[in-house]
Amino acid sequence: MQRRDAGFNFTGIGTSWCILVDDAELREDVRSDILDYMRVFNGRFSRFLDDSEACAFKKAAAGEYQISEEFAALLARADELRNLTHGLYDPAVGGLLEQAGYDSTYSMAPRPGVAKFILPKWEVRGQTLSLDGPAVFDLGGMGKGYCIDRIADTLARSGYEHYLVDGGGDMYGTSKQGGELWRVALEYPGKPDTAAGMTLLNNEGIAVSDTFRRRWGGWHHIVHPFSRLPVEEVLGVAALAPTAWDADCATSALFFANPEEYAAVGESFNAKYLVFRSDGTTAVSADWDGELFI
Amino acid sequence: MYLMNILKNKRNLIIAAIAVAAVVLLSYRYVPSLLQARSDGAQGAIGTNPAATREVSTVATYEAPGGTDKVRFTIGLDTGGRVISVKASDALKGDEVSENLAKFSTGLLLVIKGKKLSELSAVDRIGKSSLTTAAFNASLPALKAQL
Repeated sequence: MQRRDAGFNFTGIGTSWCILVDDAELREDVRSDILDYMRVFNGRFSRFLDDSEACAFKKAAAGEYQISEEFAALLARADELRNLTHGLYDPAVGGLLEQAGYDSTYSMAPRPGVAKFILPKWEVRGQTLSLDGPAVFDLGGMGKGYCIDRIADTLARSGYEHYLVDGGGDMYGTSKQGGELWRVALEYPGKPDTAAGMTLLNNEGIAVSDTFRRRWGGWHHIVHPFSRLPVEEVLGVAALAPTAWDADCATSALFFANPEEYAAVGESFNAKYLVFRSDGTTAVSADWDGELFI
Repeated sequence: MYLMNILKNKRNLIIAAIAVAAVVLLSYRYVPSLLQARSDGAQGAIGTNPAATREVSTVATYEAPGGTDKVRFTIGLDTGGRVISVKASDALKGDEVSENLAKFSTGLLLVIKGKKLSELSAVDRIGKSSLTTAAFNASLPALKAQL
């Protein structure tokens, strides 16, 4: 079983984190740098905080707005995902999640606004965001992947070489001392006691997402912006890529892609992937090299 | 090559995908006994990947307007059971791999049975969907009480 006792454990952006360092103890100053970054990231990008950048345009009029470099980078990547999925992936769906009850008060009660929700139109050029009206952005897994990579950067800058950053099940790992690789089991979507496979992380990120967690009523957190209903064809997705951000982008896009587009999504983010479909089959990328329990 | 037309037609593609899933499910159910019958390290029927110690291959038949296509699906596994190659080839043309078949093999569907996490050893971490559930569910009564 996984080593729950070891490592630096903390909570941040709504999930549990664990950092394992194989060649040394994690210094106090590095621990506080990491916690500071998490606090700032959450304050800036949480959809649940009214004064965050993600919520800054909740009541905005149509127009052009200057945004921070980091928010612009996140939205530019989200725009790439939006194009890849023909508009199905869109962080501006944040407003729909709110109307469906996944809001800052966790009301979990869908409101009449669900039926009337119209996806706001937005564009980002450099650090200029243009909007056609109010918008709430939900950066979701993509934001988390980005955050995992920044924490990995902090560890590298602080002189560590052999580490693994686990942000609630998505991670980035370099390698262990002596070149041994981090061993990561992949949970079978919807079966917390079962592994679908086993993979080795070698300076790579991994992202896993399913539609079983964070369910309420007939809803879950991955929603279709046009039909206004949750996505049901895909049970879960796993991806391995050069960074955690790339891996998270790949899983986000795969949720909305047609089966014939999976390979193109994989190529866009240099990702190897598994797509668990509701008919009980799993689409496996041709270059997948982890162990699968078939 | 009728597979190109099949790929163009989404409905047929879905049928083809189901056929592949069915074929893979059959191979999962019946091939292990065949594999066990072979000695360890033996190459599969067509030996496409030298690194693979086991290869599972099955042929799917597609009825097309001008005749029949036979496509062989081959999965290469290493000693640890890792899938190291997935290939679709034309069984009627000496296992030739056209561009379309190469694309087709990237869409291969497997049936994954899974293994209990408790049976796995030396696992550093478990990759899974966000663990927010605990925090998310635990916060419901607390938050509602404040309303």
